Amino acid sequence: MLTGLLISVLLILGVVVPTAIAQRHMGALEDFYGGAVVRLVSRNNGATLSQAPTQPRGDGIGRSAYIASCSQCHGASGDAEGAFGPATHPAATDLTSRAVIQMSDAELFWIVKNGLSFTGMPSYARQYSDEDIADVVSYIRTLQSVAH
Amino acid sequence: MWPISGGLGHTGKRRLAGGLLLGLVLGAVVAFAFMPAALTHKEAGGVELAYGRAMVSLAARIDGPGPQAPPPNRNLVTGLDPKVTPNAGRNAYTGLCADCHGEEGDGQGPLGSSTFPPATDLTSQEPKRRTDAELRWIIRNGLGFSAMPGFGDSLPEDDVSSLVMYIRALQAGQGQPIKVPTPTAEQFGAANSEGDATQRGAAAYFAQGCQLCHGAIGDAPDELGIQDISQLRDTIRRGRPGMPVFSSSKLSDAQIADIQAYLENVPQTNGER
Repeated sequence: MLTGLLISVLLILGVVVPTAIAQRHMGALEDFYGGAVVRLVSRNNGATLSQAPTQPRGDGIGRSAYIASCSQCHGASGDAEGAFGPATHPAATDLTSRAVIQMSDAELFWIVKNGLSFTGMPSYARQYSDEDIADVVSYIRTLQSVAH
Repeated sequence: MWPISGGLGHTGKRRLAGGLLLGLVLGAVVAFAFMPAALTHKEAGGVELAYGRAMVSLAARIDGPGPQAPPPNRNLVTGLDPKVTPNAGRNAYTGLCADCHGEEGDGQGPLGSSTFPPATDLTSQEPKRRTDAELRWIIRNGLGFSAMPGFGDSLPEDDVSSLVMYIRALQAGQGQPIKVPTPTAEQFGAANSEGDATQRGAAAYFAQGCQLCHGAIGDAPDELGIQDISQLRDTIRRGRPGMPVFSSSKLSDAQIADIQAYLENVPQTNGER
C-alpha cells in the first residue's frame, strides 16, 4: 500500500509536472477546468475589492494602455492573436469570447491588477493606476461590443 | 520481477495497486484544491525553485534535443557572421526576450517581475549551467504554466542558435544591447483597431510587437530602423536573420497593407524621418 502511494506521488511530481511544462496543446477538459478556476478566483477576489473600480474617463487612455500592454498577447482587437498570445501555454485568452463577456468589471479589474500566476498573465499594479486599469477594462468592453 | 524477497503475492499486488490508485486520486484532489491558490501564488521558496528548475531540465531532456544545431562557424558575440547578417542573435533577443529578461539578460525587463514565475535572470548560475540544447529546447517549446512563449513556429533554427549564442555572450558580459526607444503613450494612442487604415496599421504594428525592435515609427537606430517599406509584405512573411516569421493567422495581407499605410503616414513627431 505504502509503496503504491509513494510511486503515485513520484509519478505526479516526476512525470505529470514535466509533461505540463512541455505541453503545447490545450485539451477541452483542461480548458474548461482552467476557465472555471480562473472564474472562481477572480469572482472571489473581485468581490472583495475594497474600492470599486472608478468610472472610465473615456479619453483614449484605456485604448492607449491596452495597445501598449495587452495587445502583444491579446491582439489589437482582443482576439488573442498578438505576437506572443498563441505562443504561451496556456495561450492568451480571447477577450471577445463568451466567458470573458460574462465576467464582471470587478473580476476583469482584479485580473489585470493582480495577474494570474502560472498562466503568463502579468500583474499591472505597479505600472498602472486603478483609474488606468478601470479604463482598460472599459476598452475591453468596447472591443467585445465591436466583435459581436 | 519485484525486488522484494519472494516477489509479491496476490494480496501484495492488490495492495500495491490500491495504494497507487489512492495516491493518484489523492493527488488529483490535492491538485484541484490547490489550483485556485496557485493562481494567486506570488513567492517561490527554495524548494519550489529547485524543483521547478529540475523539472525544466527533465522536460527538456524527455522532449529530446530536436533538430541538430547548425554548425558553429559563427561570431560568438553577434550570433552570425557580421558581414552577412549583422547581429542576428542580438536583434532576435531585443524583440523576443528583452521585454521580460531585460536587455542585459538580468531578468529585469519591464515585465520581468510582473509575472509568476518571474523571468529568469539569464546571467545567473543556473542558466549558465544549462546546455545549449536545453536552452534551444526552451526557446523553441516555451515553458508551459509560465510566461515563457515557444518560438519554434516563428523563429528559424538558425536564429534560435544565434539567440543562444547571444545569451552566452550576455552571460560572459559581452552583450551589445541596442537602445530601442519605447513608444510614448501618445504614439500608442494613435492606434485603433476600428479606425482608418493608418490607425488600424498602428494597432497591428504594436500588437505584433514591431516596436520592440523597430521603434514606434520604424525609427530604431542602426539596422533595426525600417529603411524600405516597398518590400514590407515579403519581409514580414519570410522574416530576416533575427526577425521572426509572421504567418497570415497573425497578420493578414490586409493588415500588412494597413501597417504600410501607418509607416507612410506616420505622425511627424520630430520634423524628419
